[in-house]
Amino acid sequence: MAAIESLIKDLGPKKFDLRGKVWTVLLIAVVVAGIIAYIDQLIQGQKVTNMRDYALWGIYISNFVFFVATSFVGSVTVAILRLTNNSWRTPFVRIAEIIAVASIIMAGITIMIDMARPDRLINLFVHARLQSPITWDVIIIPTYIVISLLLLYFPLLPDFALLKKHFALSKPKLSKIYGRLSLNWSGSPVQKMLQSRGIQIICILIIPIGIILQTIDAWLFSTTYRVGWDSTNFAPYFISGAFVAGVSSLVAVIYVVRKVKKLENYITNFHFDKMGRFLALACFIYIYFNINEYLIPAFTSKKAEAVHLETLFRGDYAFPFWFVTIVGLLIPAVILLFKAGRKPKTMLVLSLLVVLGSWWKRYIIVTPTLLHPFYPIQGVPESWRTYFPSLHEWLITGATLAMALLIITFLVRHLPVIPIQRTADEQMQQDELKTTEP
Amino acid sequence: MKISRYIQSALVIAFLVAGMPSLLGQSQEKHRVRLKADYIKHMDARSYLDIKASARINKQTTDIGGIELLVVNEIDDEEIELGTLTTDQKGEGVFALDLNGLKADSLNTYSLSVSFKGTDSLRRASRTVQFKDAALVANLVTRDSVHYIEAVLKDAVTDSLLVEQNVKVQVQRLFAPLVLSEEINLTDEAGTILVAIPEGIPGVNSKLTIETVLEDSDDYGTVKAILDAAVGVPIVDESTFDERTLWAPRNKTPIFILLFTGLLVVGTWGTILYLIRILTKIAKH
Repeated sequence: MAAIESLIKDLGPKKFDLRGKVWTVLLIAVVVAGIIAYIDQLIQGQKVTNMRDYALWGIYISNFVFFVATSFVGSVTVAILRLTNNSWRTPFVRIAEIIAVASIIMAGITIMIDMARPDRLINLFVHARLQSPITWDVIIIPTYIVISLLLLYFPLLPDFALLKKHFALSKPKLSKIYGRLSLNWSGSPVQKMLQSRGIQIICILIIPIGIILQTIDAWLFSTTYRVGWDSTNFAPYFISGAFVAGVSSLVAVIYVVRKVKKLENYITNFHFDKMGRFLALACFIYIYFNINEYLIPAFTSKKAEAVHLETLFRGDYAFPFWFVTIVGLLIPAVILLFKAGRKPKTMLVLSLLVVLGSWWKRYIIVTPTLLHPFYPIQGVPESWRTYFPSLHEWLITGATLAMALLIITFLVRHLPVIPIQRTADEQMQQDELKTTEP
Repeated sequence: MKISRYIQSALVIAFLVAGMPSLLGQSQEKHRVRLKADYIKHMDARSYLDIKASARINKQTTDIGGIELLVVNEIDDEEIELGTLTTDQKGEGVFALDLNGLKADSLNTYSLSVSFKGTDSLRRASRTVQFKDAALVANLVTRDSVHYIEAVLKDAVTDSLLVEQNVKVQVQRLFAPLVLSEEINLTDEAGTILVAIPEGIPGVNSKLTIETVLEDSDDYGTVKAILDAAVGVPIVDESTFDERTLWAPRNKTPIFILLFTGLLVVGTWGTILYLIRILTKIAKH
């Protein structure tokens, strides 16, 4: 019991210090600025954005794709690690589940922001064409939100029960909330069996659903006959990219949480080393798919493809393209091959570069293609031939990213970021092993 | 006093000078209407006048729509009003004729006048059309496995054969007819033309609608004989309009999409409901 209390002290919810409060206020300020910009967008219409006839998908859609990608690894990686019973997963699975929930919720909100008339959202259901990937997207995102929430919630039940007891005297109101959330968890064999069955089902379910989600996201693009999107390779390309975005986000958040909550004894260099290997693998797979995506069109060099690739390699989008490819992917992948590259601080820098690269990667997938239609752009003002997001778009996109971080911050603040009961069980097993050894 | 008179006179002159151009302008703005009227006869169908009204306004030919035109059958000094028509937005109008009700002169020539009485901005105008009644009979004949259109042109009143008249043979198409005959294809002494129909012309159910046309003749106007002949290559309808396809409307969703998506949705949400049931069971224990 003393061991559990010690774990709760280390891993349980704690009030923010000054840095935590400043961080939260900062995020809220960015969110408020974005909400004001969004209200103005609602009043004035999409003309406040720089999206026009040709660049009709801009920063909102690339941001949406980024969120969907990030949500994937949080859930699928965790599910795979759970199903394969990897014991080293314990310290970071919950953080991954939290990232998944925050990302997929914000993906859903971002797609609504992109709609000029969100009041017509119901029409997506009422007039749904079941052949359209957009309809599949409308179905899969709420489904994935619910499954991600369940994946976060099921393993939390024993921890809620522990927190209920822990705060019973010091904070009765909080204890009551945790008590309700624990669903009268007593740790009985029946409850354990039911919880285990539930987690097992979710872990199996979330893998195909996660793959379907990424596939639909890719098909939103590849089913339209456009240069740069018309590829049978797109779904696996998106899935591998989602691994990269998700694992790198996870590493960055783990580093910050570990530092802020002083969890060095729980999340060790060993865990970073494992995550580093995982991220390196994800990066190399993604590099392989990138070579496929760009090299084959470069070889066949159909006219429209050649113009598109020229823009990416040497034209207007050359800087983000090479930044994403070299700084956001190739260099981190190579550094992560070395043990020194998998140290926590180095991993933080690398993961932030990869996250940044992942975000811009979506931007260069979405925008340049739209500006290269098969028929030449004509009959529109000169400014419509290019696209760069307006202030409204930056503010709103910044707000969605801040909102995702705010959700993560809120959940990290109020939930045990490392499963307490499971950690206690693992420690007990290790102690038993030590005592039984001759 | 004298000065004020001068001022008054100057003002009157200035007013007249200033007002003159607008007065003149009003009279200049009255535009001349051009009327065009062609007699067209479809054999075994209807005969009509095809009328078009236009005017030159601001150096541009402009269609004059919504004006009323009077059609009169003129014979010697007699004028018989046949009726009126109003032009449409394109300045066009069709006036149906019943030749049995018309009177011809001693040379069997019909004379019809189309007139416009004018408005404040448009001058009065008229156009006279003269024509005789011709009969064009077209038939499909086959010789040595080659299909031909054989047509005979006669004067409908005197029944005399019309020779050296240019008669075209063409197939009706969506945008413009496909001409089969030579540019100049004159009737012979028997008032006949013979035009071969090339193989391989596509038609719905192999049906070709073939027009034999005496076009814009000075004496007889335009006379058309239309004939349906099953001598074309059948058009295979490749439209997927009524099929269940990935690009069809939502009421024609392919069955496999309905089944696959439906099973996925039901399977996933069924499992989610089962998971929620597990949660309620946990709460009860």
